[in-house]
Amino acid sequence: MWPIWIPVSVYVLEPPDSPRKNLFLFFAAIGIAFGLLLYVPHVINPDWVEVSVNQDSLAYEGTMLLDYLMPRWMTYLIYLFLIIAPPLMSRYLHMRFFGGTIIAVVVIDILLLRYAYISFFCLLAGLGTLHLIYIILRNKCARECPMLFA
Amino acid sequence: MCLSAEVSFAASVFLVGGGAFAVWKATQINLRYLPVALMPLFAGLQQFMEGNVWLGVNGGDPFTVLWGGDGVYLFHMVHVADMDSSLGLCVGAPG
Repeated sequence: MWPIWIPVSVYVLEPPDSPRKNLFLFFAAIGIAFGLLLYVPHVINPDWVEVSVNQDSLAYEGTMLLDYLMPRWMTYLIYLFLIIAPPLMSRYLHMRFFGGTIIAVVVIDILLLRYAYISFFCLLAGLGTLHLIYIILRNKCARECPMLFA
Repeated sequence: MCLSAEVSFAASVFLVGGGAFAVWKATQINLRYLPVALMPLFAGLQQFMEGNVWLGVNGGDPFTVLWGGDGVYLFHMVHVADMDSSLGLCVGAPG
């Protein structure tokens, strides 16, 4: 979902004259292919979805189709690139800040994971989307494109 | 959040409410904001799915776990890859 939706959102926000606009569309297309490869096999093969409780937290494990094509770390890397790179490349300063928020969520989550606080990832991800509400309410994109966001 | 069904459902209400408000504001300010405004809404739906996973896990209902788990997978790839519960360490990548 996110590897598709984040590039699409950045694409829609980007002004028509932006040289990177088509690149965001390209990222979205990759995100669609990547997302379908990740998700559809889990719907077809329910056995691939494994849920367990660990230290009062839900943990999702299991098989991914992409495991047969590439190491798992590369799957994670592509996923993170598709959700982090588009906002970081946006014309709008505050969307780039949002890219920073996602990086912070990932870094904090990895650090907390090492101390076994895995349950906080969802909290941080949810808080990350609240940053977007702030951007909308304050119409932050008007800073770069006052005419477009008048 | 991953802590319990109650926390997940509460977070769901909070995020869906905030997302719905953002969608309304986006329609007032500029429709270019609409896809961005939908993200908190989606995060709220993911929390709702996770609440259902908790209900399925606590109630021993595999169908509910699967249904909710598929929903969680739709929004987040995976939460934890490998675990070593004996050491209390969890190593993996975020979804």
